[in-house]
Amino acid sequence: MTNGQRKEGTFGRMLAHAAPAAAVEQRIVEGALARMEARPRRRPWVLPAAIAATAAAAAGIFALLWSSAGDLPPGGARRVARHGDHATLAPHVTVSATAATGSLRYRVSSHDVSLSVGARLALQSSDAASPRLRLDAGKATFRVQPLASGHTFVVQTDHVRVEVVGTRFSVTTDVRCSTVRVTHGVVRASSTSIEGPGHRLRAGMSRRFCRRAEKRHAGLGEGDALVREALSLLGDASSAEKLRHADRLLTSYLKRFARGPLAEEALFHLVFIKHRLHDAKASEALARQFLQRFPSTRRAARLRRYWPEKKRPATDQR
Amino acid sequence: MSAKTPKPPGLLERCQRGEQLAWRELFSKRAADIYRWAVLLGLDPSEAEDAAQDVLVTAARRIDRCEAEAALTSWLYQITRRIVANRRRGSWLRRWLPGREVTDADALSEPAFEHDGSAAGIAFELDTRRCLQRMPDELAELLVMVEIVGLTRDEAASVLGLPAGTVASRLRRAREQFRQHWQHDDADVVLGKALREGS
Repeated sequence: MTNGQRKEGTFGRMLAHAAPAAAVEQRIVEGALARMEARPRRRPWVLPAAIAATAAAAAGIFALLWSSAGDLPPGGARRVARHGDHATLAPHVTVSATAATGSLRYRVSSHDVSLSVGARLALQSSDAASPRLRLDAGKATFRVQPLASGHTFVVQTDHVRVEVVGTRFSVTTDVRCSTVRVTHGVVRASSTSIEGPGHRLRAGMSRRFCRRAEKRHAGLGEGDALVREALSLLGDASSAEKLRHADRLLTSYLKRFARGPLAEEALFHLVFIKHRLHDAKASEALARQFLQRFPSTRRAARLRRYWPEKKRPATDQR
Repeated sequence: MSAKTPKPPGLLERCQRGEQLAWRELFSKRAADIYRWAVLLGLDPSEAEDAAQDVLVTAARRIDRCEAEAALTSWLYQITRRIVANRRRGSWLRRWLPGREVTDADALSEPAFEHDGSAAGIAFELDTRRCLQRMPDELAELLVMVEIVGLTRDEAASVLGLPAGTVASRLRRAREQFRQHWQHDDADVVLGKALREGS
């Protein structure tokens, strides 16, 4: 059986039950339920009811805009927001949009914030000139009014700090990464884990920011994170830069955790990386080292299959 | 003689009656499947999440068109492939818009599934997704339909509106192409070839 056959035979079995993270699954379910509630199935009375509701909503929005136009009230208004409501976000209070409430809309100073279901947002600084918000989970969309000179509007997650230059944009965050999408205008987004001037994103652009491996997999141990990141880089065989980065990560793992639980995996992949980088000598030396250290493993058997008898290390001539 | 107790209504029937709890049950049961299909049909994890929501909402709107619970999987899959195709068309267009930069999100490096910390599992998932992405859409889709969704050839033929013979030959081609892509990428093979050649 060739490798391809082996792979193709297991592909269905191995991925047939692959599941997303529980949080992702929950977001899908809750989001779909909320959207379903927001858009009920058509009934004969829908049209007249919709007309009446639209008229009422228009009157409500008009009244709300009339009453809430102006500056942020000191201390922020503390009221329960419901679906379609447009309340002022109170400082240092975390608000969450759940399936029960549907999406929420808030006013921060003169700017609009919409929270999608599953989102959790807090206003860290209620300074009307330079509000600062923190998004802990989910997706929030911001419509920012033109800012006066010296004024700022900042949104931060675990992975990114977004400073508005005058725009409409959304930020989506989960445990691993945050994605910034700009609808209108320009924002400057900088990673919270990498020093630098950040990225200037214009309308229509998006960028994903993830924690660096050491932070991302902190709970799983630093060594494991190094190997995981290296393996995820290995997929793109066309990029020598990624291969070199994976090489550095795995070499670093083997230096620091020579007897670590992933040493076998790291060494095995390093053999291939060196080869892909056209370093045949290093690849061969590592292959010999692998056969000496892990002679009775399945990976060793795989290496031997491709290893000409005459070139096999003396210790392995059994 | 006791009267026959009526059979309790199935999940599909309860959904069609508009029971909210039944919807939640259906969504919870199917969300992971739909997300998995969307990822393997070529969407990145965050887009697949949005697409999965779209599929469930569309299913809720059109539930009256699903005739039997046994057909639910293939019916949901049909909705998924349409929504995924629309999203992929959209992302193809966006890529050609002026001012668009290639972003980190474009790289296939983020695993979409949980692997309980297994590095090998992540590598396997990424390799598989990459091989599928390199195949023509109609072949990749058929392979996912049969290997992942679990449809029979006849069911796949009915979903695609093609004769069963055409589906069978296309499936053969799909398997062959997947195998070729995998072998092309497989580091073992690359190293093995080089070692045999004495490099």
